Amino acid sequence: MNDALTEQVFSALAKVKPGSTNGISREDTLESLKLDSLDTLTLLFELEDKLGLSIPDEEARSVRTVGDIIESIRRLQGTALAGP
Amino acid sequence: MRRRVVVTGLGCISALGPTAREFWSALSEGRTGIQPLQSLAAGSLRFSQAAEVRDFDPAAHLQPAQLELLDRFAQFAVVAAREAVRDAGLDWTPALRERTAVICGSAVGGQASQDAQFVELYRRNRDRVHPLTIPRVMSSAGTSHVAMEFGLTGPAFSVASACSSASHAIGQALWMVRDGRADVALTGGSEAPFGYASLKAWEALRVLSPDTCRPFSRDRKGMILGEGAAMLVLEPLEGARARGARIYAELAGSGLSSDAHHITQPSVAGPVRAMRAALEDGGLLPEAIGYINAHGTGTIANDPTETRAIVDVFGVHARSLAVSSTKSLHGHALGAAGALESVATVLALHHGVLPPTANFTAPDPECDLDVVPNHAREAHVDAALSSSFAFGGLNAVLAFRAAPRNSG
Repeated sequence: MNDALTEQVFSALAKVKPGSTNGISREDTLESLKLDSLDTLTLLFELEDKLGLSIPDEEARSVRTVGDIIESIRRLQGTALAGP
Repeated sequence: MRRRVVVTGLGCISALGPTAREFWSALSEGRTGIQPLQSLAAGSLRFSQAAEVRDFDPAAHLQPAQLELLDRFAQFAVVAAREAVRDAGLDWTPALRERTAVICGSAVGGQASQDAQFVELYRRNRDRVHPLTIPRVMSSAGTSHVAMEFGLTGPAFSVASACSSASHAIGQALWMVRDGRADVALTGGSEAPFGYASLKAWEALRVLSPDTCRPFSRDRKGMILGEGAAMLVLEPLEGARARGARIYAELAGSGLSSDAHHITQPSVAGPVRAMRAALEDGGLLPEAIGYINAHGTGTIANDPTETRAIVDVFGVHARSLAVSSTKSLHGHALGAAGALESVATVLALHHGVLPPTANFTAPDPECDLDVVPNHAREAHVDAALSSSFAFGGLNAVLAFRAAPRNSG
């Protein structure tokens, strides 16, 4: 059973790249899902919009797998929660 | 008819100063024009550095009636064109005006003017925009104003091929003068992309560096936007000699290609074909090239790809030629980039000094070329390339040769 964030990332992926989430796992790389650099930018943009956060460029550049994106967002949400 | 074509006039306004002389001083001293962004609240953007033209007072250059009519990008075009014409010492006659072509590049035209007027509509809820919006915004306005400035009635048009716009323009101008379709060409590019919406769009693309532009460095983080204009006067060698003009360099060839690959990702094959085509068009062997002014954006993707392309074209000679990216000094001026870099290349041949790749910190094994790190180098080379490899895979490479002997 996936948590809510994972489901949100999968659903954004399905929107950017229809069909990419069939049998998907967190370990799948964006490359293996046939996402190019512009698809990845669009995916992160969709997620930023939906979740109301801003993913720094360095972080955006370093994501390789679906799990990287989930963890990156979780960290940002954690920082936001822990903030003032 | 195939005439040899030479460069006899240069004009340039950029983050490095308002003239070609100041541009060259900064390049040869490795002094960068990248500074904190001043035209907007930097806090609202994820990047804070830019290569802006500072202290530009349009009223010092233009008539009051022109101030309203010309967007900043067109103002730059006129200012650079005036300098180039003055530098060439052209003596306009009615016949020469009819035989002079104006071909300039601009990738985005008057976006800042468009922004400003659309704010009136969308934010201030006005139901009208200024009547000069269209003539200010159109990306061919720079060419039109340059033609009107000098009464030039030969072929005139603008070229839009993103970051290769000016190089495509200059290459086209070369071929027109070479083939006798024009006796003089005023050619180059201009750009002024510092509108808020345009900067936000660049931010969203995640290719801008949060600090500075470090082409070919291991820790490069992206490009830095620039602005400005540069113009070159081209004319046939024989005509230039006959009128005793100073000849900076010969524009020997132009090579064009398309990647037909991806709208933003660079490729190796397209640039390889463009560089080879420029050499062939210029009648140059690869070994004749001593310097390449690289596209060198400083993005993660461009620099290793361009390195592979250079190695592919030049083989072992790639290890002995110098390659620098002057975008580290004047920023990436988009549709003007190829013109600024052509001026840099021409002056490198003219002065026997190769401008450096500034802000260089550590070599990247994937960019293992001699990139003239941080300090200019004295070197008299016979020929040089200036490369532009635009988004969307539109490639244009210009091949310059040192001024022919006895050129005065």
